[in-house]
Amino acid sequence: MNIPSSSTGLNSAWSRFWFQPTDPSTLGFMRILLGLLLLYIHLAYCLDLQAFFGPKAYWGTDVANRERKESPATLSNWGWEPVQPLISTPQLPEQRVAVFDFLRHIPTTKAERESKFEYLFQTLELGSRGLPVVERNYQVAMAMLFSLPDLDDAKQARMLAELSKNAPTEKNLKPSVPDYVLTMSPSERLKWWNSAQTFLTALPGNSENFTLVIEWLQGLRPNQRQELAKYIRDLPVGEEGQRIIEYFDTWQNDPRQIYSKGRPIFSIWLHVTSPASMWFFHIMFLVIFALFTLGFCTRVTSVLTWLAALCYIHRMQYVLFGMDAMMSILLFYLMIAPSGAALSVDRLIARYRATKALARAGGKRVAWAEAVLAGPQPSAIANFAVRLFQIHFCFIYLASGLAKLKGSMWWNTSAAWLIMANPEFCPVHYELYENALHLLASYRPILQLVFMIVSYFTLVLEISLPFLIWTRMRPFVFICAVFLHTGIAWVMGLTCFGLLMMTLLLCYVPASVIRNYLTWPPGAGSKMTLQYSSRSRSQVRLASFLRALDFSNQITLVENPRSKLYDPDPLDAHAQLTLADGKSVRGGDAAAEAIRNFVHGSKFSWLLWVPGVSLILNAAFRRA
Amino acid sequence: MRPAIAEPLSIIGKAWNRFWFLPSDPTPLGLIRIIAGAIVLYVHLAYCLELTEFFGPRGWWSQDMANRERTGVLYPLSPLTWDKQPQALRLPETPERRHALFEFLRRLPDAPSERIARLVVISTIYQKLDEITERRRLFSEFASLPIDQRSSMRRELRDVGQIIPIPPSFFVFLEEAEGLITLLAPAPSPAFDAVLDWFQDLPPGELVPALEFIEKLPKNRTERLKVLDEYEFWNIDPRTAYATGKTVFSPWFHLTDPAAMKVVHGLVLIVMFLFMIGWATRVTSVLTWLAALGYMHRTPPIMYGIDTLMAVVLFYLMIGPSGAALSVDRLRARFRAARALAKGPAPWAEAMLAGPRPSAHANFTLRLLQIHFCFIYAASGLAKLKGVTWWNHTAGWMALVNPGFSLVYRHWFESLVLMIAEFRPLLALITGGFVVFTIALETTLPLLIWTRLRPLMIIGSVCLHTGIAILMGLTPFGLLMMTVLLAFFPAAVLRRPPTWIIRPGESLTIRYDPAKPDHQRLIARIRALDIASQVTLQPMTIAKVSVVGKDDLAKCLCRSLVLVQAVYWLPGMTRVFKA
Amino acid sequence: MIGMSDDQSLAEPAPDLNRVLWLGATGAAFTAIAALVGVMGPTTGLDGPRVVLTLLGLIIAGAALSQLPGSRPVWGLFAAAALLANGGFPATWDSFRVVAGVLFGAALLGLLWLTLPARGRLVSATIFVFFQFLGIATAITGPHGQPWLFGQLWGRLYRPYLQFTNLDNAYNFFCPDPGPAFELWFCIYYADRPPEWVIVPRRADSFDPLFSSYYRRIKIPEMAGQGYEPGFILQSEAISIRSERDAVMIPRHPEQVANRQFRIPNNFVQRMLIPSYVQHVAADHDPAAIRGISVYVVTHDYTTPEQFVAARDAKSQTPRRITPDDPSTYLPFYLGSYQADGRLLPGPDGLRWWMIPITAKPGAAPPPVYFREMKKADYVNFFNDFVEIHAGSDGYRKGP
Repeated sequence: MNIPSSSTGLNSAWSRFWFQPTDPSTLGFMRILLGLLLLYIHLAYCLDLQAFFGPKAYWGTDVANRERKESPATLSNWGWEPVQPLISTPQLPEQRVAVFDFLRHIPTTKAERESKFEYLFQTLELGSRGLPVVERNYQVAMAMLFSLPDLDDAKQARMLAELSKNAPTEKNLKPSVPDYVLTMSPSERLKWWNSAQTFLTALPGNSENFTLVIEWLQGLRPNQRQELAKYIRDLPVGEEGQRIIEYFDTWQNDPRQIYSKGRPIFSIWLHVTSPASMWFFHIMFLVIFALFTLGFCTRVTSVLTWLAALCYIHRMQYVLFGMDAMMSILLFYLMIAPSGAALSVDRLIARYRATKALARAGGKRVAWAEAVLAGPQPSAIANFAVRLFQIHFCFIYLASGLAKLKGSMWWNTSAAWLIMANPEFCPVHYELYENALHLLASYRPILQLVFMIVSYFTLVLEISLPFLIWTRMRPFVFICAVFLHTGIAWVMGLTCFGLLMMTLLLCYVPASVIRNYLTWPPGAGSKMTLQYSSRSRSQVRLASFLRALDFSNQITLVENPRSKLYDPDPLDAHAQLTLADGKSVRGGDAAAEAIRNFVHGSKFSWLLWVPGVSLILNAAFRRA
Repeated sequence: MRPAIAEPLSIIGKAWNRFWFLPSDPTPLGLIRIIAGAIVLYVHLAYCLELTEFFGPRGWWSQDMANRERTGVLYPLSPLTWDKQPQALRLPETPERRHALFEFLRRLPDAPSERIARLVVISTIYQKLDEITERRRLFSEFASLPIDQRSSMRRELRDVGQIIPIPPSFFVFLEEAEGLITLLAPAPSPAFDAVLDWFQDLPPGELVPALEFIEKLPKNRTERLKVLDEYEFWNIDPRTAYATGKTVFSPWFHLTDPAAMKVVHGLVLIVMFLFMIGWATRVTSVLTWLAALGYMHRTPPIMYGIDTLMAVVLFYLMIGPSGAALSVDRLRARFRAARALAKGPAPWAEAMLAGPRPSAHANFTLRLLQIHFCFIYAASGLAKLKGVTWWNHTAGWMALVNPGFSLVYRHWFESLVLMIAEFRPLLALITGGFVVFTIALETTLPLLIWTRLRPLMIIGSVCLHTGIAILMGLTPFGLLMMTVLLAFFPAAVLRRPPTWIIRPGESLTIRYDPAKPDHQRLIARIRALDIASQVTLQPMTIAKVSVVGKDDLAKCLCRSLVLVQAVYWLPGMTRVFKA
Repeated sequence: MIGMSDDQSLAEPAPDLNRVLWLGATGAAFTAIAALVGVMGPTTGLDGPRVVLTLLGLIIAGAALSQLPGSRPVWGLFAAAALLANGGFPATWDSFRVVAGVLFGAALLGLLWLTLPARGRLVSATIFVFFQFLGIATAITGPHGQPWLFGQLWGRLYRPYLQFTNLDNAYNFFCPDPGPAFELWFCIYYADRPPEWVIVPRRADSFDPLFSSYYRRIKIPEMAGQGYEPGFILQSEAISIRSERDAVMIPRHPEQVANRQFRIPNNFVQRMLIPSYVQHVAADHDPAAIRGISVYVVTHDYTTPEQFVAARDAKSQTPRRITPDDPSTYLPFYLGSYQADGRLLPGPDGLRWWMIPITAKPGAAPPPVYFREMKKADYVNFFNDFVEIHAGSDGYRKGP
């Protein structure tokens, strides 16, 4: 990515901010730390692989799959019209069963519905206004249904007789009927009575469910009665109707209303269920994480790592916490970023290749190789990724800071106590800690002062960091943030979370700092010279190998002058390493010796005592 | 060697001193004084027609009430330990019932032991849950009998007791009842029931504290009545209060005669005017501050944002050297300096004429203003986040259609809003934008005003207050806020007023005779008013002071002196330049 | 901060010390005279002159101080004047003794200031900064869960200071949520003529171009509208209140939820604010003839956007457009009936503290106009105004 450097003003400021090439070392270091944490966290899963990801996990595979495919997402529409309120389904399980049973047996043809449900529709529509009198009528009309089944013929006859009068007297009407019936003409009245009878047939047979359903109808809110009538009227007939009811029963949602179904998530654990294969994949993933940590083929492993981690996260939706969120952020941006461009095996390989190319060139200049050896190249994309990290971090802080202000606990600082004395998280079960708390609490103002410091420090930092981190205050707020997360890690016991946050925080550390503190500046350590012949492949290999490991340019490569004349060189078939003190060694020993003399070598020289290593070195570098 | 910590500490200390005490130009203070002074004057001019209505003895907030609150209000405060502050009794809310209860308490006998003895029956009545109603009925029926009948009844019952067995506890009950009845209002009456209800309603935990409270009431009757009266009025036990009365003052707490009120108000207005133009600012600033406080303290119920802000600004202008620049004081100082120079060389006079002296004091005051401004912004920004409507952006709508404040009471505005609201996303966008802008600005300004973004922040803030002034109608408030913003401007910018405000005057050469005292006085006057140093002086022996190339001195000066040209039309302006 | 770290070489020569001292002495003398009169003079009649004398004395002493702020004797004189002013102000002007006290304290601080070396001045200025803004912090956190420590600081240290300087404000402009506007409706009953309505605020009342006077009037009902308890009441009291309410023929508000329809004004509103308002209203409308005054505090609720654009809604088949000033947006709470002197009228009052509905008649579709512009005929046709019925005033209340 190359930037229009000539452009000026806001535009150039923007492109400078995002795309000015920078040293990717920061990203490399973040990669290593994240990788280690990943390994730790996922190694911990080994023990409860089945409990969290197996088919019979807490959150079982089948229910997880169902939720993934079906879970509804509702959305309000563009206009002001409210999303039609769904008819409220009862909370009591048995009542729900009864009601949905009733709904499932809605007649399949529209005509039949109209005839069978006439009474219900009428009552619902008349009862849909929120006025007191209307409400009473509605309740009476519904209550009447209770008494209908056990009307013997005599009562029936009396009722019919009364209803067919022009002006029925209210007290003779048993069961009592809503007011509007009295105002009807006798014929209408009888019709109404019959409609009630027919509706009775639509209601469940066993008295248990019968009661439950009517109670449900009575409990409907006025504004939902209209809706219910509508719902029953234009419920599609046949298969589709059943499907809708089914979905409604499971998700309390009408599939015709929801905006979208299911969630865009994936996980290998949703499909792989046999313990053996699960173990296989789990170990594969661990290996991938390890490679990612070392930075081997980072371009590939970073993507794989990201996907693998997501597999775990997506599978156990409901056992996640902050840690996993931070993990996915880090992984996502490190996948975008050239996180393998520094402090990685990839980098060593690159150096190896570069030296080889140089050696092959035999004195001619090879631009790219020199560039590689000069150190990790600054790249625009590295800067871009770092910026993404930084901005995202600001969002995290701002969100958690501002949201705290919503309750009054952070205002009056009592939140601090809930944090400090939470038996699940904080180390209050340790004698020492508890005594410390007691000591503080012995004089109220002191403890209150502690509360104030804790909660206001958190608030102020979280809200102000996103702004101050860009100013001269950066080092200061950086340190404060480290304090905060150390505190959280100790008091709340969220160590992994804290470490991840700090890893994230590293994105504000300039690459130069990382290089100064973690790598070896050029010119350190004792100088050595390696005389080699560019014609002998083994010698070139040795040279490149040593050069790749020689971070602080201790070795100067010298072309053996004789190699021009003789080929192969009868006298010395070996590259020769001359140390600062004039001592010189050859071949495999040269490699070992060089490694011992590297500034960082001292840290790794024990490797040479590992049986076989020196053999390998010898084998590798003795003969062509 | 010094400890490692000393180094950063000294750096911080230096930075601190530079921030607060680096001498700086007082001009921003002067400008703030003028504008704020004008606003203060306006606000108090508006009082002229409502003086009696707001501050009179029978104003909305009447003088008696105001004084009673000022002297009597009780402030409870929790102790420094963990133990709960003395539990306030749960009292009836309806005035009648509360009064009935306190009447009962007033009737209590002096001796604590006796009080409790009289109340024994209470525990008897409320002992058993299932018998409460029964026993209360019995009690009130017994109480509703006149006293002699009660005694006779008890006698008869005792006689009957000889024949039919009556539980002795019953006689005890009647005995006890007698004790309480005499303290209660005559039954049956609401007052009578109110007291019994109260005892019945007290939650189990609170009956004991209630009895303790009754027992602990002062023995001395007058003392006890005082306590009870205050308790009934303030709903707080005066003995648990940490402090009593407010530390406020105002002439309007005491003035009752309309004429006197008018006079005082007039004087106040004059003082405020003098403060605005910066005459004897050291004194008038203090007086203005006190006067303004007088109004605020007298009638809190009618005070709003503008008054809060006035209190802040006037307080700091009173502390700071607000008269050191752009003031009449300054002109007089210039005049003195010019006179001194006429007498002979005087470095202080040169400095005086060169411009207002930078002072640490001025810087300190400006910083105080700036920090306070940040506090105002942070507070109102962060507190908004407590409410849900600022998170879901409905606050924008509320501000838009609040008929009390917003423009929506005008039909054109309503139809405009309607037009927008017809398309929901548009309205959501507008209200959302408004809300986000407000919160973002209010929360970030206190942080970013100190960075390179200061100009941006100032512009944003101006936009905000203009918007509020237009939409919410709080114009004086908005203006005053913007005035405080001036504290963030570098003095240099403020000293160079844009040419469309003040025309750059041409430079003049004036001939005069240093020997003549009247010449000296005139020249001093001219130099005092010549703030843009347009005048160059040519001392020589000459009859009268004159401008080179102009005939009429006074006229020419009036037209060309930067300071004067704006007000040259004022009567007697030309006379200033007459010898 | 006089002459703190800025050079004195260019300072204007100070005025003659003796003259300034004389001036200060005069001021002190004035206050002294006032104090003397207070001690030995006649107790009544002279209060006015004493106040004037004392104020003059303070101002003169202050003027002297302002001329020579660098000299201790002048500060001393000022301190003396302030101290004497304590006695100078008569008992009827007791609140000004606070001022005198403050000035005296300031004078002492000033003297202390003069004794300090330059560095000491910087330190003390710094201390002031912290004192000041810690105080502001306590004030700011007041309304929403104040930290215990701030509460203590406020109660024990800052209250007097911030109350006096009137800096005890939390700057919660439109926080935490922008609230509705309020109104107060007074219905005045006369012995001899029909009742009369007084409504505050009205925009018509405002006479200044920047509406300052109008916004002051908006504040009048605000405290009465906002100052109410979350409303725990003793059980039997609650029962009797409900039963009394139900005895009244006026229905509850059909659209408002039950628990929003009853509000107990807090102690301050009940016992101080409303009585004070009532006596003021009475004073404006010849108190002699007044039989009683009914008070309603009215929440002028928001119209939701849905109502504003009359969006179709499952609830109402015939949606009507509700303007921000629709009569049904007014939610009046009845605060009781009072005598002209602000005391409650004796006797039971079932509706006290209950919301009284103003609703559109069911089925009626009033035009979307503003209450204040509605014609009486329309109003009567379209709306059930139970406030009118409760107040028993046929006189149609012009839209506020």
